[in-house]
Amino acid sequence: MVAPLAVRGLRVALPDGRILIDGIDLEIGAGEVVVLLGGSGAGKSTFARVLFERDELERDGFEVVAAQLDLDRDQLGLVPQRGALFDHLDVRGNLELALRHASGGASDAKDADAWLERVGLEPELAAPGTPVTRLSGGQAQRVAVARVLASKRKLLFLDEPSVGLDPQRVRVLARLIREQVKALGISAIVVTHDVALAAGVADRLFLLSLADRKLEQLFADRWPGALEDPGHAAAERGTWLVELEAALVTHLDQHADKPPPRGPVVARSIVTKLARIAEPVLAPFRVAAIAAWLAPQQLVKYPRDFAVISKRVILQTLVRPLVFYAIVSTLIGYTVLFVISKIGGAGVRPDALLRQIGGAHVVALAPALSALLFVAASGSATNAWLGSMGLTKQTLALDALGIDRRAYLWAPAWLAVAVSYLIVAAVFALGMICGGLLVCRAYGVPHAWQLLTGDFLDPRPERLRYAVRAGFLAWIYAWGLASDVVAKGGAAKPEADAVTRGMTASVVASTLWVVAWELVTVLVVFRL
Amino acid sequence: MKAAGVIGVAIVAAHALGFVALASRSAGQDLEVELRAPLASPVLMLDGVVPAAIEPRVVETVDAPGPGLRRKRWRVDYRGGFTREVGATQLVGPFQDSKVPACSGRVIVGQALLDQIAVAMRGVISDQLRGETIFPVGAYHSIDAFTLEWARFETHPFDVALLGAAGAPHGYVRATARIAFDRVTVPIVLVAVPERADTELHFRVQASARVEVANGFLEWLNSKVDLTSKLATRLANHELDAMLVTALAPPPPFELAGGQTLAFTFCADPVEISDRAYGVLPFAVVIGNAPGGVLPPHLPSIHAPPAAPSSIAIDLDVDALNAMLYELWRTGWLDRQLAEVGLDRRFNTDPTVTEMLTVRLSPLRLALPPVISRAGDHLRLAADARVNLSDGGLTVARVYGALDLRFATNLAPAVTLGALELACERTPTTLVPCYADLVGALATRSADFDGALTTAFGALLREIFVDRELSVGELPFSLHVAGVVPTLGTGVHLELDAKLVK
Repeated sequence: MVAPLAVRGLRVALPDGRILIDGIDLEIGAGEVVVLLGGSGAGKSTFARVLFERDELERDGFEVVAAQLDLDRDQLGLVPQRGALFDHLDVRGNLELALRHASGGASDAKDADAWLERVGLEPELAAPGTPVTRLSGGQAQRVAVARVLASKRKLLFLDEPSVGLDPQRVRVLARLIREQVKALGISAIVVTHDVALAAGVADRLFLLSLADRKLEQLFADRWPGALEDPGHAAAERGTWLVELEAALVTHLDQHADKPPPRGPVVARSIVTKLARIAEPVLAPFRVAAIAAWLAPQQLVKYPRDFAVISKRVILQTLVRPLVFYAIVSTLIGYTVLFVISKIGGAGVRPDALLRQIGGAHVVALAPALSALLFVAASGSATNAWLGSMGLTKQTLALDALGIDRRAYLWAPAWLAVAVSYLIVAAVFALGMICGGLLVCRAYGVPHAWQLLTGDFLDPRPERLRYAVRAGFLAWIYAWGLASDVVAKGGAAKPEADAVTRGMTASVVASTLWVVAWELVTVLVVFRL
Repeated sequence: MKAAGVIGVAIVAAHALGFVALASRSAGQDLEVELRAPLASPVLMLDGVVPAAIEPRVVETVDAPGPGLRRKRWRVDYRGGFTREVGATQLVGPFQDSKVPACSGRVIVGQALLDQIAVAMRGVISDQLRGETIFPVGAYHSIDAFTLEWARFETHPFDVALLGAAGAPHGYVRATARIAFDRVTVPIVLVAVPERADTELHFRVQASARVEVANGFLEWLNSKVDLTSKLATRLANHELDAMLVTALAPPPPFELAGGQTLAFTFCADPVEISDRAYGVLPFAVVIGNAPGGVLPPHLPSIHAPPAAPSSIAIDLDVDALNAMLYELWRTGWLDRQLAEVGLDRRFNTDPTVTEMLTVRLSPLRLALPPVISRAGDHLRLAADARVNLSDGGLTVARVYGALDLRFATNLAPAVTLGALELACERTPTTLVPCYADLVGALATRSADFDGALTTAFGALLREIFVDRELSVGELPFSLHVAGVVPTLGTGVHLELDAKLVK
């Protein structure tokens, strides 16, 4: 039988060249549970990223080298820290998502209840509308386990599954893992600091050593096996817990403060360096191409998923701030036209000036102003949402369920942001027109509605180009802003500050996008 | 993933190129009229072709048929009250005949002026007779009465002998006098019948005198020496003829610059006299031929019987006005006047223009003679001009202006702008709308532009018809016109305040 995972000579260097992992040799057999222990900074989470998102890791500047890395990625499932349940779905939605993608689209409504029962949770939690935020830590972990089990993965990777659980729940979790591994004939890698969990589930114990950055097997020749399996006495369990803890504490005492050693300086080519510098710039373009390609497919194949994500994004980008956009655009429309009406000074008829301007200011200003406002408000909201999904490992959990985050998350979000912007731009233009109507009414300008909408609905020949420009700008802002928001929001979020950095970067990049297109198009229009 | 990035960049590049292509195709179809019409035509024939893309929304309007400057307009309305319009002008016939000028003007001499002439003549004749002795009636003493009056044969049937076989079907001037000598008083009657010979008018004068004496010898003697003839000859010795011809003649030629004149001539219609009221002399404006066969239009006109003027009046039909304008246009006088007025200069140096506009004008050139027509209670002067617009490049523009005018005392024109339209020539036969907003703004500032042409024309009318002092042959009198009161009828009626002065 082929081992679910075989790693030999795995070496990982940090972007600054220091060696984080200098040798992992590991082979996991079918039905086996392996526990990886190690101190903070030993590289446990990085090892998980090597397995789940090696490409992203390398794009972030890590260097990953392995003599052998045999892994069926489609059989690898993940239970992230604290479960990383999808908070845009309810409890049932989390399970059904895994079931749907495991079965290629169809799932039985009763399956979710069955999987909850399987991990010892009450079926009531599967009631529609039960938010995942209502779950306790233990419940969330078990739902996460149920979700990954439902995805029918053959190799589970459980990342700190006992964080936040009391000792009793740790033991319950350990027993659950052992039961399911045996029942389903699957394997598991458990990364943990928790001695009780490690001893409870491990067939073999490994330590990611801070001393030499290699993987060492602990008690290789005398480990009795998982202590939560039947047949182990309480005294035996107590002895091994003490011994295991002592070994771990001794190791940390000796090596916890030891920084990763500096490895040989790897000369990166100038192309690689340029590519790294250009990566944040190119990412939105990549997102545009990917999302435009995947959105129709996702819409056809998983319309329910598409609708869930689109609905969430439209709520963030359109519905919630809509009144804000309407008020701001009306005030701007009023202010601009009022200022214009006063430009002539004494002796100049304001209504004559208003007639000259017509709706030209709306055509000229609405796309840019709406785009800048949109990216600051709506774009930041979606950016933060996507970023928080990364920060809370929800995107990693998607990957671990075999769900392509680009198809599931990016494509519908991208399309929803783009559509939202188009609607916002229209609302903004309408608001500016309404503001203008107030000014026109004050000066008694006849047929003000026709006057202000003429450039949109029936532009004069010399104004047609400006109307076309406005339409083009709205179009390119729509997908441009959407691409940048999704790219920045979807980028790796190792810490909370990365979320705010992404938001700021998105506002800056989108503003440059808007300004650049304003300039380019105005030059084209005037030169023609 | 790398390919996706490249594709993304390619999508952006494609959008940039796509926008350039899109923008270049988004110029919109502006109104454009390909004209297929001559400048002047006997009948209205203003055909134009518009682009098929906008043809359904083009609204065509055309002036009612008839002679004059006629316009056809092509208009497209856009939402918001914006309009794009192009108009073209055609001078439509029938036209006046340069070989047979129409009787479009009338000099009307009232009885009052004849009365003045009578007073003057009485003095002249008295001076001539003073100191004379005629055998057998004795020495001249005085002229007791002298009258001149417009007369019709119907009211003076006894004048038949004097009028002779030719008679006076259109009336005549009747003079009566009583000349006192030492021994007798001689009553005299003269008739002066206007007769026109080609280009001049003269009066055929016949007189009769009857010696009122009771002495049979003297009566016999008178028959032998033909006293009547002697007196009649004296009285009819050109003075009366000169006086009448001066008063009743077309206006003299007006000197334009460059040796050109604006001339008036007799025309086919006869002098018409109304008993004790007025005498009317029809006259015509002499017109030459312009290149391209352009002639002034001949507008229908109804001659109402003139009101008896206090002294002298001149009626000018619109044909007369148009013939005069035509001559002034043909000789370049109007263009010179426009240049002197300096509309272009005034526009180009206007502070608002210099500060805010890029467009500049060249002097205007009238492409067609201006035409006056009757419009309600006023006259409308329409003109079609060309002007070069300088705004980065040079564009020829067609300016159509219509002025609604009335004349106040002394021919000071009161003018309002009836229309001001502008179209640019993309080619000499292709018209496009241009500077529509600018034209609209200029129309609201019409005071700057309204008066130029009409003020010049009004001043010219004054110079021709008013500011004149006409000498009367060798007599020590002249006809002095002190003022004029114009009124509008079918044309312009100029009531002159004329006096015979010594």
